[in-house]
Amino acid sequence: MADMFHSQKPIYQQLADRIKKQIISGELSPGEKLPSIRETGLEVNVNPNTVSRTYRELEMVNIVETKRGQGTFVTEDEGVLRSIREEMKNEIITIFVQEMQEMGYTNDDIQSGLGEFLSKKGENEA
Amino acid sequence: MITLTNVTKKYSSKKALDNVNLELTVGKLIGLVGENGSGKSTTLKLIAGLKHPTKGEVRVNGELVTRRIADSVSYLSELDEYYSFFTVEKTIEFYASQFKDFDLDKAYEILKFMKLDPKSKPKHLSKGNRGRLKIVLSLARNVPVILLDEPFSGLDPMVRNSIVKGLISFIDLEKQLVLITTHEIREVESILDEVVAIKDGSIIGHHNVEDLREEKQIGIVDWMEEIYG
Amino acid sequence: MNTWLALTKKEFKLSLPAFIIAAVLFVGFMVGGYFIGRNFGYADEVLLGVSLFASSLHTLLLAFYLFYSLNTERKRLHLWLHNPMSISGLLSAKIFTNFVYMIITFAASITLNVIFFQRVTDLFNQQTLFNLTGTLLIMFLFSSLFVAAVFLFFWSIFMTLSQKMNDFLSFVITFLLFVFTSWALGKVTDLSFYQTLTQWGEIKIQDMFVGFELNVDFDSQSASGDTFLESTFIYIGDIIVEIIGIIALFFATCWIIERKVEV
Repeated sequence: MADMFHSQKPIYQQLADRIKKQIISGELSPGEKLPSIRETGLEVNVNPNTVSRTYRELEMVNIVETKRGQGTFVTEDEGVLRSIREEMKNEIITIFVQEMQEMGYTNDDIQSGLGEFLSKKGENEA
Repeated sequence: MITLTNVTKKYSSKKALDNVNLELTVGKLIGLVGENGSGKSTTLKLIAGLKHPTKGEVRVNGELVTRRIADSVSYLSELDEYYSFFTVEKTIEFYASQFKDFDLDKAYEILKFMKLDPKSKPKHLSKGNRGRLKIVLSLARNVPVILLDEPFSGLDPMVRNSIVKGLISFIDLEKQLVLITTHEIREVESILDEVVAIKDGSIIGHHNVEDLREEKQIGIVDWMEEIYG
Repeated sequence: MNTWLALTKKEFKLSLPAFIIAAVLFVGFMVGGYFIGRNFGYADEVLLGVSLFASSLHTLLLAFYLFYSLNTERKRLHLWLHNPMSISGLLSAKIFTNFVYMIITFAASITLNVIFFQRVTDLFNQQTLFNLTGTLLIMFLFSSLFVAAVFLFFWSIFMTLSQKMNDFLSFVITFLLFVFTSWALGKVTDLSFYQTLTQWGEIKIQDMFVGFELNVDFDSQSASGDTFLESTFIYIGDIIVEIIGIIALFFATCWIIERKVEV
């Protein structure tokens, strides 16, 4: 538990975020079947009730769909997939920017810093 | 479902439980947490019918609890004791003969999952493997209520993890209620639906764990620090 | 029934060490008796004495086995008591098992009694010996069941008390209770109304002695000889009371363990 989730945020949300990240990174592709509730529970050491709640929450926002008797599948809806990408991107950027601003960095500092970091990283990877 | 209504349990003069009211519903994994001597074991034994309340009543699925509630309650003691003349296999067979809801196939499945040797004798097993054997014996029953008294105590992290995984794999949360007493909160934090805190024989809190995280942004450990003060 | 049989099988394993101890002691006594007796040239007589002594010890053996069995369970009472079966079921498995163990050495000792008795003296004919052995057998068996029932009853009281105090104090109080109850029961059995209630169906000594040759010896003082032969050996009424007592004690014990004994 300690290594995978932190205890101050509902685990069903953390698990939902984890699945969203897997979808964005391509680890889970559109239309792919998710592991069963128990399998997921075992993998991440989480109560099956919690996993089931995660699946329900994801289903409510159409990220996954449950086919009766077959299991739970990642959506193939391009629009939904695009919106998860946007949502997760914004979420991470918000946190990053907030922290930078709290420490007193200006928008220019942030932008130039980010540009510099990315170009350096690009060189290293090339 | 388990209900305790105004339950008091006295030993000689000391009150182990003081006017406890508690309602636990099926389909949940519930942690009963508290310091040593706070009344955790007593609560479990009262539900198992192995102790009798001084005042008040304990019911399981509406039935007033006596020792014979063993029919619908699987109780795992914190004690590390087995009949010395039985091997692991014979111990399992003996349990299967005594409880009509005991599922032998499931027992062997859990045994395999826990990587235990059926031919060895419990006293020759490591402490960790004896802990695993207890899980085999109590989870192999298709029983509405499972009571686990300190299943992690004194076991190393590997064993604790295998027990957690065993719980996730083999509990049927559609039909079963599992009540665990433990000190090792971090171990079970992610698998508990509810947590009940007990102090000096009184229930001082009973919460849905995800609600705690959602509403108060705190985990069980923080919550306990808060209420224990 | 299968549940009970499986439990009984467990009880056989649980009590096995106690049985082995008793069997080894029994064989040891007999072998010891043989060598000592042979030294003095009275092997048969000594062996008769030893086997008679061993037979009479069997009245306590069942209680000893039960003590061993329950004492072993006591260390892990939850294993024994966490069971849907009634206490009468749980206890009867123990009683049955240990009774069987008791019977094994008891049968051996009774057989030896008869063998050595016949070698020591030909005073009684077969019929008499058969009657005598049969009656003694039944008396011993009832006594051993009665002792066991008394033991179980006071064990349950000891267990109940030991939850509230330490074992030593609990034992002392249980023991005093036992002494007091025995004394009170003794008073009751002395009452004439109790005796009219129970002293029926007498079996006289002469009922058992067929073609008793000793009559000759009593000729000189025939009065006392007749009195001896006409004196009562045992009352069937007493046996019935004993059976009722055993059953009552058993159910009282079950009641106490079911409701008062805690893990």
